[in-house]
Amino acid sequence: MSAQKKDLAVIAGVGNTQYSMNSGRTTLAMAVEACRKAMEEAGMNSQDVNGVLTFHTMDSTSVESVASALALPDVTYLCEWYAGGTSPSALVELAELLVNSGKCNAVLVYRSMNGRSGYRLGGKERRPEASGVWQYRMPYGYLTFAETMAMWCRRHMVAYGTTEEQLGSIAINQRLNAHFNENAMKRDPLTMNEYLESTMICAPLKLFDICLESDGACALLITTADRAVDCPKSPVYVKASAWVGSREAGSDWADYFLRSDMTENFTVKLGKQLYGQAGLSPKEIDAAQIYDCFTHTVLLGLEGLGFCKKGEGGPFAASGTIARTGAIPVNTGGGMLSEAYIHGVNVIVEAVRQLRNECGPLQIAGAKNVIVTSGAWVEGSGLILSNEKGN
Amino acid sequence: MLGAVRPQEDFDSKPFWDGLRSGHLRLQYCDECKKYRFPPYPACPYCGDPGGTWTSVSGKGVVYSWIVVHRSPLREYQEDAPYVIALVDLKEGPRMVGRLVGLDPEDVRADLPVFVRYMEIDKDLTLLAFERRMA
Repeated sequence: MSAQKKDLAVIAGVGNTQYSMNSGRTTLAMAVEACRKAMEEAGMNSQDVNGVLTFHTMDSTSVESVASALALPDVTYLCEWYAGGTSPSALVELAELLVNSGKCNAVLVYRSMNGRSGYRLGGKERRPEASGVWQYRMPYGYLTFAETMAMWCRRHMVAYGTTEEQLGSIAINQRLNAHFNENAMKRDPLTMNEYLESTMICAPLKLFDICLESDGACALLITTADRAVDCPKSPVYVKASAWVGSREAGSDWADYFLRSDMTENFTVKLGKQLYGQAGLSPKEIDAAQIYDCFTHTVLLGLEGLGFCKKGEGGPFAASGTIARTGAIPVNTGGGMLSEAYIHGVNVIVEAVRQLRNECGPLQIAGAKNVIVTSGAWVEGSGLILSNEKGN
Repeated sequence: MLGAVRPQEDFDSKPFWDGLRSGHLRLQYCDECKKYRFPPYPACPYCGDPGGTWTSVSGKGVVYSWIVVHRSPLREYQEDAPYVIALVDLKEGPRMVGRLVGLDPEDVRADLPVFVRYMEIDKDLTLLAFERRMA
């Protein structure tokens, strides 16, 4: 599983719409805009693209409608996963398999959602359906993903003494990054006092521990390294890609009834695979885009990916190590806590732009390798992207 | 209000909910690998055996983790706020979820010994709660 890749795929183009609280547009219109931008960056037209992938818990638009609106003449692969934040990196991996196997020439991965004005993830006054494994928790008023992560976070606090201030340092760092990101929805710097005094939602998690709800779309265009030679933008190589599961996965990506240890998540297993494939160690990673549905997910990622020891994520984050100027800059565009919640695809867009040296005041000087994670709990996926083909 | 969202009972879960309605916490016990399991599954997640015998368990456990819900997206639950949801590791192994009652949220701690209580919502629905027990 961890052997180095023979054929590297390339992310040759990325695109995004404006991020907002109320787009006033359909998810189809936004998906098409993001995909067109990704195709433009790659110098490709409709004839060149023949695969389209997305994932859709909550709001979305179908792969068929996007392929039609892009007037793709000869589609050879469409796939739409019923899954959430575990998917973005895994779909890049699937796109990589499709282009490297010859099944497709170029593949679009997109995510489009009116996550604030339409189907809100927070589920305010939406009647949840207590079916499957959810029937054992929802009747008690244990409804949301924030409540789920709060449960994991509490156990980490019990085991390691992790504090609210340490979680706050993650939120504050990302808001500071977003301050310099013109696409970001939340750009006013956040103080520790404001963080600590923010509304308690489900203790131990407060309002600013929880990601935004956003309208918007992002797209990635993946093709082979050979084809990417002709693309206008410098290539970003998929140096490592993996999806990891767990024997304790239970019934879905947030089920935990069988999970014995809630103080670590899928990133422990993921990191080993990614570093093995890329032939790199954590020390050689220049930035980390860690899926940040919640501050605590970032903390679990810092530990799982080996940037610090298990249990030390809190002090590590609070020490400034994750700042743009620190040893391992994290969520350099503000992430989903402050830029926008496009379900983990916007952080891949940010990783690609970092590797193309396009990030202006947010640019991590000389960035060569960026690690990305997708997911929060028992399963998920990840990538190591690089602007260098060899090591 | 507890039970405002109704569980959608299914073929696998009906014996569990039937158990609660009759005042018993019943779980499946694997006759092959001798482990209890929760949630109900049509096969044992530890060994894959399709069998399993519904068995009453002690109702004793300890708190693994807990949260205090202050803001719920649903009005019916907001009425109860703040309320404590606990994950409880039963003596027999499985981890359960329920409301923790009769205790100030500030006094909850990990490994707190608890005992099951049955909260009869109406004739069709009984839910689990846990309260402190003397160890």
